[in-house]
Amino acid sequence: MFKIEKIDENNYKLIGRFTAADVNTAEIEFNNITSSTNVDFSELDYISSAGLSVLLKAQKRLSNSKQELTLKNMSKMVKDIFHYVGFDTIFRIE
Amino acid sequence: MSNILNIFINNCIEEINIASNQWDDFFNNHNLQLTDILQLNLILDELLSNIIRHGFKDNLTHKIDINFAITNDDIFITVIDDGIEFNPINNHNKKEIVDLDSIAAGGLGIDLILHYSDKISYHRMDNKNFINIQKILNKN
Repeated sequence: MFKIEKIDENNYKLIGRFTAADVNTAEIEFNNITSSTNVDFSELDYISSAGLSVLLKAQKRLSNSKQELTLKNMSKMVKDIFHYVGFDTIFRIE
Repeated sequence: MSNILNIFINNCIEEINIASNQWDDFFNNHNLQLTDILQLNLILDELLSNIIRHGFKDNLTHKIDINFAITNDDIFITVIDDGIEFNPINNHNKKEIVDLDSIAAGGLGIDLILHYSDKISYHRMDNKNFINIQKILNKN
């Protein structure tokens, strides 16, 4: 079960398993982000390539206006996924 | 407790999450570690979503057959579909990230399947794709 919590305008939290079936839900939320935003990963179990695409699309759009996503509190496995596909070089990860 | 499990799903993305409840029960009943459970779920999500998105060129319903077998040390997964011939291992080269503009997310799913599997093989028989995955289990 995947959930996105909007804490405030610039803080979101991802919860559960971000699978291929969750892309539409996630895209609706991420399309609403227009300025630099923190995304808390502390309760995210894993992210699929479909989920990575959603984040990539948002990051590309935001970078056009010099804004960005900052990804925080990743588990070891999620960090490993980002590192393996090379996304740790294109996102700020804290 | 059986060491094998067989699940059928239709070629519909939403069915992956429904089926995951069944294989999660199977993994938990065999006391798999959480890391293994999450990695197996990621492998299955990538593999099945890839088959569902790209494997069928008609609008018909197709069954996808997912088989699990657990030993003391390993888990073996075989996924069978009657979609177009597709070998995920052949000609797959991991792309290097250069910058934000040059990245396309396509192909990342296969990178992740290969990363978290210990052995993977493919064959085509009777107009069906057979993908076999072996994963060595972490010990408690």
